[in-house]
Amino acid sequence: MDEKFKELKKTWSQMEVFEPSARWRTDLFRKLRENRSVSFLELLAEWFPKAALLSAACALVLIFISELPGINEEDDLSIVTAFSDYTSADSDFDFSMDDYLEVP
Amino acid sequence: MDAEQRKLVVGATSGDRQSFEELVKLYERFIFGIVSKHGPKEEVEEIAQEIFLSAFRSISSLREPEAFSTWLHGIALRRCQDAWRVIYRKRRAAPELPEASDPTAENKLLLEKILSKLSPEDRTIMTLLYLEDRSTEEVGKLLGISRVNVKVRAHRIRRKLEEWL
Repeated sequence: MDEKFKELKKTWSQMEVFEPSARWRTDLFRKLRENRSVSFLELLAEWFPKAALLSAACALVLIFISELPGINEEDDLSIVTAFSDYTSADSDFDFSMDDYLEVP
Repeated sequence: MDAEQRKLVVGATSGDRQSFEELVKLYERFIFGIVSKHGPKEEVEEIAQEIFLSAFRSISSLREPEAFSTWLHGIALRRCQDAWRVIYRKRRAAPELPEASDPTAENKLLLEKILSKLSPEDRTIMTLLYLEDRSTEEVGKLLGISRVNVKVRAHRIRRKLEEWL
């Protein structure tokens, strides 16, 4: 095995080694220009405006939803008022908010 | 590493592309030498580009400028392993190699046959340890694994070689 391995080692040392060409280098330098290394601050500078824009868009969507008919503060209040009137009315119906909210 | 080269590495770590381009010119032959022997021959140019691009993207993480050469060597070996992994995945069995016409060609084919039977990681370990005569410590450093791990794998590879040769 040792003899054979020595031969293989010799073969390995004689194996063809490729050379870089000017075209290869030009191509790499073009790719390097397109692929700049990015520092943390650059990353932050890149992503901060996007995050701000996304937040603003979310806020606008929420405002739009809250303005949709049927979903507004007045309606919510009218429901609460009606429920309150019903439970406080003089009747045999024995119901209080405490019972309703009691956790079993 | 001389002062000029150190300056280039420091410049490149702080994002200076021109410094990195100078480093490419200094190290391109070194990288081509590694890829020619450790990677698939058909993809040498492509892999060499990937190595430099990968190095450029992550050079800001290099803490010691003096370790640049070892660091780049490690990236090159890992990229070669990745390339073999893709090739191995595509094929189901070791390739059938043609008959050799002379002893040198025969040895070349035998070497290719042996290497193609090993996993990409073992292939690198075998070539570094047994064909390039590097120490287990150096191989560990290059591949980012412990010296003990290198020794264990080397032992397994040696047993396989005894069987195949």
